[in-house]
Amino acid sequence: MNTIRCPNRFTPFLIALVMFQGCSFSDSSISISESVGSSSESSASSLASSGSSASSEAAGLSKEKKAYRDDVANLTYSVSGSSMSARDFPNALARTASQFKISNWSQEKATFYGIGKGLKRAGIPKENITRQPFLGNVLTANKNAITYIESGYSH
Amino acid sequence: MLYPATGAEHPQPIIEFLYIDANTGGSSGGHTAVKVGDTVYHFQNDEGFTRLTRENWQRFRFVYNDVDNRNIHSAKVALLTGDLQRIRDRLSLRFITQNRQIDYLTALQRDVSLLSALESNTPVQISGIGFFDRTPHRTADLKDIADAIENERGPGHIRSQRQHLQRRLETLAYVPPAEPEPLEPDRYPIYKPTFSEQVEDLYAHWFALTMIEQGWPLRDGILIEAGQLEPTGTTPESTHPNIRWLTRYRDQLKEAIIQSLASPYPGSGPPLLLSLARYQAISLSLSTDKFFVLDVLPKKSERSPGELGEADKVALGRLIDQLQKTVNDLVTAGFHQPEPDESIYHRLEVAASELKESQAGLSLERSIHLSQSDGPPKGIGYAIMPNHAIPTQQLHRVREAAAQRAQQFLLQMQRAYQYQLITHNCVTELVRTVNSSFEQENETTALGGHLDPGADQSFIPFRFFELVRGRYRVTSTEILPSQRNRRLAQLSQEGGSWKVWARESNTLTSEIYRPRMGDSAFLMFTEQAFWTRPLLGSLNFSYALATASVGLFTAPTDGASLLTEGLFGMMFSVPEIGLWNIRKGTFNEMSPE
Repeated sequence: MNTIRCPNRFTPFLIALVMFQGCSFSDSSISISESVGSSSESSASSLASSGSSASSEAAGLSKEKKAYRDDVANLTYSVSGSSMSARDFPNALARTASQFKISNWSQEKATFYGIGKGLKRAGIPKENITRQPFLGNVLTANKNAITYIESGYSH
Repeated sequence: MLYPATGAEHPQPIIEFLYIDANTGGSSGGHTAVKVGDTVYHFQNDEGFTRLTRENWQRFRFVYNDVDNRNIHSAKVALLTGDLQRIRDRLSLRFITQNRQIDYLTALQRDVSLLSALESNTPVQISGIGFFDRTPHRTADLKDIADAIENERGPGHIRSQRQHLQRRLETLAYVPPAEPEPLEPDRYPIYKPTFSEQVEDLYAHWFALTMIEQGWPLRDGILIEAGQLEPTGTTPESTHPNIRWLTRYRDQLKEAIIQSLASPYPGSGPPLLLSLARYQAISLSLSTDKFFVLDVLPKKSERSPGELGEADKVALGRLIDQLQKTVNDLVTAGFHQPEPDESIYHRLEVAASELKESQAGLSLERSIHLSQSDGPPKGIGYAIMPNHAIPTQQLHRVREAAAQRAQQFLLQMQRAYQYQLITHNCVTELVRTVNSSFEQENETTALGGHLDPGADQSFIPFRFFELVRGRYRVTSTEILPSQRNRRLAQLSQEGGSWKVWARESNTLTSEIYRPRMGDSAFLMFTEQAFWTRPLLGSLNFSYALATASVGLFTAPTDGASLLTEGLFGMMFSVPEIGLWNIRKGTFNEMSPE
């Protein structure tokens, strides 16, 4: 096992260093090729799981889409039972989708899987899904919305 | 309680605590992060706020391990699946919550700049309108969208809706936002759209309807040709998969455009314009049998100036080959899935844009800028807002009120997230967030031990990592060597002679490392040395002193950059004299490895 040299006698010195420049860091000045430096999924072969024809969530989502689904689930869990309106929830979804460079959240199955997952976590009974006021506009945004939400709820 | 054993059939639920070695630049005291699967979460000092950042592992490693040349130390802790999910959910919720709060602050600040623009009658920035050229009757691609809308909503609907939006835009008054509730880091906040957000949405929808009605095309130069729609060498079919995919994606976009115009929601304006831009690009692709995608990198005027150094040309050539391969892979095999996926299309946009920029950089021998903004392509443009709701004489007072609101919220954010070196830094917030995933200190059971934020000097990244190894249920540790260390190890494996080591021991003769601005002036590498470090540090101090002395004379002509490098060189030599190494040198983004 590798160990790091840090005798305790250096601790005061370390503190002094941290006082100088903490752990602040910003990479905003670094320009990196997204296709080279950040994305492990830029090659076509790795895209295989990102688009599936089946409506069941079990059919598979890419890692990226799973992360998006989980963010939507956490958002839904957080706003369930709050005063979030049917008009504001699409805005919250759009902001969450935007983090994943998705502009049309209503065309993404992962959005609805995530809503289902979040509702389950929030303890909303499956039969009450369509009665959630904040879901009003979401349920009409995609003709398969309820199917996908129920699929996300069940997994 | 049973924890999955190493080597089990299913992947072991693991959380990795990362310690990133110190170096010059930011985080010279080291840095910390947690890795969950392929995702890394870490807190950064972002303009005074302790901000949670999320990155994929490959990008994180590229930035810190390759470019920043820091060793990354990892301690793996085995967890139960449910406990791992708790931590993951807490990090995700805190991330989206904080982002929403920061977005709201930005929107309040934009209210002020919008009111200033209205006062001075100057253009304001609107996302999405920069994709288009406002010249009428230049494209027929949008006619089927216009027909679909008018068939559904009746003839003349587009014009009447456009006029309705224009009236709303002209008469929209500024209403001060309600006093926000206290900030909570783990509850998604509900904010009503601000004045600037409402204006942007109304204008974007008005712009979209006008474009559809009048046939506004994409602006010149925004499209990039990424290859043939039916690449050669594929099995002949009646309809090529690329064509099927693009046709379906265009149908999806059409559906989304019509839906957004019929049922707009706050924030739907910019995505609507992006859909319209992509719709036009795909229509052109299908009619010409060539892939045309939007250039999603910032406009030339927004890019950093600078010349391309001779040594970078080889690396840039390699980058171009790699990008060309990515584009080719996507064009030949990326669009074979039965269902369209915006992410794949966006990857082609990004790769084609980066390829175009890299090729231009090489041919014009200028530096390139490949980093694009967060989120989907922005298409920033400018327009004068036709808002007459606020009398000119009142605009100043209204702007003051908006500025006060923005300031109030800024103070609220500062109270909640202010970066403080010892009590609220990258380590303390990480510990707080992980601990808050569990109720009643159950993290002790989950992780095998307990850490109090900041206690036992754990606010120091290095010390925190020691405590993690000592207290948590660490199953293994690993060091991912920095770029320079990896390449030194390679030289060692190849049987590097003492001459090679002598060459690589200093910045003047090293073939692995080339001095860069921001690394500070130094002569000798001190990372590997220990007992000789004070001597090498003294040499570095003298070298930096000499550099600073020369820099005094060159300051009027080089903007004091040499002087700054010299002064920082002296500063980072002091720890070396005291046996401690911070400085390791850094690499650029197109490093040879």
